Amino acid sequence: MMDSLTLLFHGFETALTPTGLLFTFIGVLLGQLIGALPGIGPAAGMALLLPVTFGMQPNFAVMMLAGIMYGGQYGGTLTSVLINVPGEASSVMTAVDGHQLAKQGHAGKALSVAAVGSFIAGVGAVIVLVFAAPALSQFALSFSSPEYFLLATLGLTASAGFGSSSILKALLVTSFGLLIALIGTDPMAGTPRMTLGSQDLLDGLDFLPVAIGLFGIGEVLASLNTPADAKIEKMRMRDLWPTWSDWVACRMAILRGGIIGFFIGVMPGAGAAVASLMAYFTERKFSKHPEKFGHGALDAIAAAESANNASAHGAFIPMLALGIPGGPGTAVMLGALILAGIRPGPALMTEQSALVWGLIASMFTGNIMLLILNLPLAPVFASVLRIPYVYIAPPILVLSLVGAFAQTFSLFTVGTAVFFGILGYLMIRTGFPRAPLVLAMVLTPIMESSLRQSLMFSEGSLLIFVQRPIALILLCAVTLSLVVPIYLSLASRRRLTTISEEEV
Amino acid sequence: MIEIIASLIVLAVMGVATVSLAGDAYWTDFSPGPAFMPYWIAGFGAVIACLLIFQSIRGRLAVSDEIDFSDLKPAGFVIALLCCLLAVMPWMGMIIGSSVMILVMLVGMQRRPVLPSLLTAAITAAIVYGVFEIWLNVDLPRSPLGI
Repeated sequence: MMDSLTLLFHGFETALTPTGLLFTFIGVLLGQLIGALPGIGPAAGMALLLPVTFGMQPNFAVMMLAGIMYGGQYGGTLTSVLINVPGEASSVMTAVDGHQLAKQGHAGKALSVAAVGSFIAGVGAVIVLVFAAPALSQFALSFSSPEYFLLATLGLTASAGFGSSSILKALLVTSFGLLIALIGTDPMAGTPRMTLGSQDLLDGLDFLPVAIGLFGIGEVLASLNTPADAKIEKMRMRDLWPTWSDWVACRMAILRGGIIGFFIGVMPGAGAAVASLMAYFTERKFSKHPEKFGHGALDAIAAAESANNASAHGAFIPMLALGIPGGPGTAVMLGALILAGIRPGPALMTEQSALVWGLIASMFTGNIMLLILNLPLAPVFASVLRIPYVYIAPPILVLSLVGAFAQTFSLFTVGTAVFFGILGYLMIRTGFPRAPLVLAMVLTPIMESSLRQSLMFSEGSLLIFVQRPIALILLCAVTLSLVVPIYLSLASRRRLTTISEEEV
Repeated sequence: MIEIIASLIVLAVMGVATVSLAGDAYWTDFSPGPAFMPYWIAGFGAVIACLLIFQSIRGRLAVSDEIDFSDLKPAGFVIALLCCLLAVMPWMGMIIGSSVMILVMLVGMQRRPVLPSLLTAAITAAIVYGVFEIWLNVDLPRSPLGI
């Protein structure tokens, strides 16, 4: 425990330097803006900004990218409350009650409860992260190639099983992602593989243009029908602060939302949207006035917003401790580390101690910055919403193309980004999840090398995956991550069938 | 229907991948070869695609996601613009080409006033030039004008 605190103290030495503070501020500010803009999410923002980090020190780059990720959770509240358009999927539940409060003239109250709730839950989640991540990482240091393979597989199956409405659709996307990530030169034999004779494919498909296409271009294409002139509810500075009784009513909602959000954030696949949804419905059960939910309940906003921010921070635990991203945001983050030449995994916390602890420390400073940005400066950000989305979409497209070009200096990469942008748009419109594709692209190299090493050690015997205790536990977890969602899906379908039969 | 189309596309991709692996070894003397994992992934993908087709035919998808292609026309227009930009970028340059694309999107497609549209194009060009050309030293494709 003392070790963690000492390392955190060293992390603050990096996070509190002028450069550290500057890049954390840029990150949270961009996150706040990106979160407020409908049609572009934190993962898209991080992917777009990734090329800008090429010339930066990796520790400052990750501080900025992380700031975008959790800053986006704060920013999404603004559009939800003021124009009833959730900037993020995780702000949908906030829009339900937040906009009702805004219509009743309490927009300021809704925004400040959301900001303070997010801050408390976010800081709480980072405190748990400080102690949980090193312990988990220490445990994972005993992992060998079979455990790595199963851990990466678990990241994919859990994401497919719990992060999508249809596990089959998610697994189809996952298999596509796994296959295209294998295109290029074989890492062990050094021979071309599935390149179809193309010189451009010899280096494989880069993660960055795929992420930029799926999240940046795809989201813009799917948002072209965003209303240009949405009605923005008015807010005044003096309305901002809720009464003491409001705080008392919200304190348990913040606590419950934060705890739910944190645990869902740690689980791969579920993400901030599921966290806020679960916190909202849990809070309705605990609330003294559940009838107010949906009509402007302050504790509903407190629970949903605390949950989504705690979830964004909780997602860093598997990423930092195990090198396994749980969602698109942490997948982009992991991509950034790989592009910077850093190998993610359990050794990351010891080999790149300054980077990891600087990042964790920056989450404390970043949350303080976001609290300041969201309380006195909320009206300033509200004015950003007056810029019609039609003027924002084309620059995002241009930055996507330039960002893709900047990685390889090749128009082939730009074409790849456009191709995956079209694919991303089609996936959004047809309900196929995009996150498993990006996760598969990030995890495939780890999966392939560890699978081949495992089978080399065992001389081709698959028993290596059941003979080692931790591997066996992970194998059971992989199986459960596939079986449980299928069982739940079948059970809910059976329930629906029973209900419809009773109605007939 | 969309699940069946998607599954067929993935099946085709898996098929092409399998054919392209024809010369690659599945197993070398002591370890799995380059074709080992792709074959397994292709097999897994094919099984999932078949299951999805089977489930769709029986009309048993857990949640029928609403398919909304109401924005297909503007999205198609922008996709066409992006493809045109890709084609003209080598001789028109990235900054000029992108600025033209912004103007076509705003003035031609969205019917927005010319002045704010020009301002949007100019600000974007300035950001791209400042961040990528000057700060990051990225040698963006240039037009004969030098930018």
